[in-house]
Amino acid sequence: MGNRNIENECWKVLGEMSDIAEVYILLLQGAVLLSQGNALDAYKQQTTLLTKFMDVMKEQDFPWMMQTLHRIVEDTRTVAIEADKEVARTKGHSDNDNLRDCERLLKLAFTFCVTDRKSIRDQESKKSGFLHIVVVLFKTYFQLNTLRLCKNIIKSITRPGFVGEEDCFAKSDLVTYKYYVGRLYMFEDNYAEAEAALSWSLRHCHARNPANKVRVLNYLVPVKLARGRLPTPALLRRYGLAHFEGLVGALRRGDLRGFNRALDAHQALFIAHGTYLILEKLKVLVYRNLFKKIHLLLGKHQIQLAYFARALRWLEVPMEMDEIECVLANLIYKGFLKGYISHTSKVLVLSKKGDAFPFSAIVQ
Amino acid sequence: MKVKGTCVNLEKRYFRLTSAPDPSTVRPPPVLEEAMLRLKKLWKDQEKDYEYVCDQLKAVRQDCTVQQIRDGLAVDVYETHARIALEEGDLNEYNQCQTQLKELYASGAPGHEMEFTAYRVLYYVNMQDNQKNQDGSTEMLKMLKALRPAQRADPAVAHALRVRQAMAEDDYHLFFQLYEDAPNMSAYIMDLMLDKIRVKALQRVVKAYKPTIATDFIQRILAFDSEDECFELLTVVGVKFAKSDGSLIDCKTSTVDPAAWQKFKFEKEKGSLL
Repeated sequence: MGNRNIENECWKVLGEMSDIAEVYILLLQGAVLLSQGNALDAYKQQTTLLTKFMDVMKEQDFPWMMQTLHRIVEDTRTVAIEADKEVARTKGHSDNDNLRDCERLLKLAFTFCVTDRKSIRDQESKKSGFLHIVVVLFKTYFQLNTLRLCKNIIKSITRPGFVGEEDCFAKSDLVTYKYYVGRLYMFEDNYAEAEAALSWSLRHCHARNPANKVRVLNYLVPVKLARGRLPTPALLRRYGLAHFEGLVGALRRGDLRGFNRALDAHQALFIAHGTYLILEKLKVLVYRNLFKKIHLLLGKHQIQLAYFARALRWLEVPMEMDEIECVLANLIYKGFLKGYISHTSKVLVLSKKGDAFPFSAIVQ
Repeated sequence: MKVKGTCVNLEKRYFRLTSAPDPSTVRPPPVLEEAMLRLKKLWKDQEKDYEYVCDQLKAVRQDCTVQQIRDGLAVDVYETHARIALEEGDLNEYNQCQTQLKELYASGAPGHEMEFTAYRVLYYVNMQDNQKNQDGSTEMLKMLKALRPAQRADPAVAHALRVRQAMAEDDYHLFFQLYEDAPNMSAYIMDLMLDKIRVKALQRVVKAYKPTIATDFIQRILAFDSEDECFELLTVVGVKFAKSDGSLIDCKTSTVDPAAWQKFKFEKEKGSLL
């Protein structure tokens, strides 16, 4: 159908609803452009559509309109991504210009909803619809790698007026929102908050959507590991998280060689997920568990460093004395190990007061 | 703007452009190549100072830009300037060159891509701590994600990745081993991390060893060039000695204040400017 035909048909059918007719014209024209492979023009059309639809909603607000706004918001992002792909094909590379422009529009849509004067509990309030737009915004920020901008959004929606009003939002939007918040806290090395958000997300995932549970677990497992909590092999098997199996086993055993191998084997995957750096830091826990085992085996509180050297040689990860002292210094500094090193005697002296390997130091 | 230059001068001052330049002031590729040979010799023979060479190199870069030269010549210009800037500790100029090189390599221009990928990794490692409260570790992950297997396997890049690992794990022993074996000019960028890793190491040492630790052990493992350099850092951050000759550190009474060192360095550098 040509553009003129689209216009004629819409006016014919919707003539008395001129605003809606305009919206449909923009929608259909955009769809045609996209199907013709003209993503750049389709995106321009989409931006006009989103702006127009918000104008329409200001004047007449029907219950079905919020869902439509959500759909238009999602489509705007999808088309922006296609437009950037088109740029990449023709120019050879893309700076995500369309997606960045889209982010600006999404913020307008967010502000449009969140500044509605009606109370969030009012059935007619636009406020109850903003969380879905936040979720689309977060996806955009994660894709553009501008995560700091998420913080501004979080700040503006965790004001007293909204805290505790979670039952006003769609559960699926809350689950996704908390998933992204959990990932943000993880990147900031705030594992306690990350665990809280991701755990909430996992508990409230729809039972019939295991794929979403897997998505959450790919971040919750590393976060829990960082706090010293190991998942059961059964859990990893049930959700197809085989890439964590070697790592978890090595961590439990204090097996440095196994840990290094497991981390290397799935490095590309962990980097792609964004969890490589947090998992890499678990090495210090492997050392802790290894040295704790040596302590338990010897049953002593004064352990010659030569024993650690021997264990590491046996694990095929030989280390000279200076390096072992460095590892021990880090463990002591972090509080994972209570004791001190006598450099001249080449001995580790463990504390006899309480637990020399306090678990509480790990859970922070 | 694209210009076809006709100037044959080997020497040219850099001026910021506000409009399309007169072609008679722009040097074509063959002249630029000669200019580069001249500048490299001047720098190598120490006949001109950094200010002069930097200015001249910026002019060459500009001539490349306005003529849209993006081949091996442009790469050579940016690589040369980047290396000289590193030598001089001019991070701002280095970063500009690094950014351009990344794009040139991506477009297929021939050059020492692995060498400069290694520098870029190290540069990120150095920047990361400062960015900690901005984007957390996402910039680092983005960089790791972008590395191709061939890049990862290159010895210089592999070295840089191990430096990143050493910093991430506060493994000062590994860091200084890598510092000793740094390829190309990687050590120049690692120099920027020395204070950070040394102060962190001292924090761990005074807490981990009892009752004392030998000062020359610290000097060795933290790769200080001289006893004086070592003592300066130790005393500024608050390390106490168990012997008046300073040969033994008293771990119980010692503290390590990173802010004290930063302040000291700032004052010292400020003083050297006056």
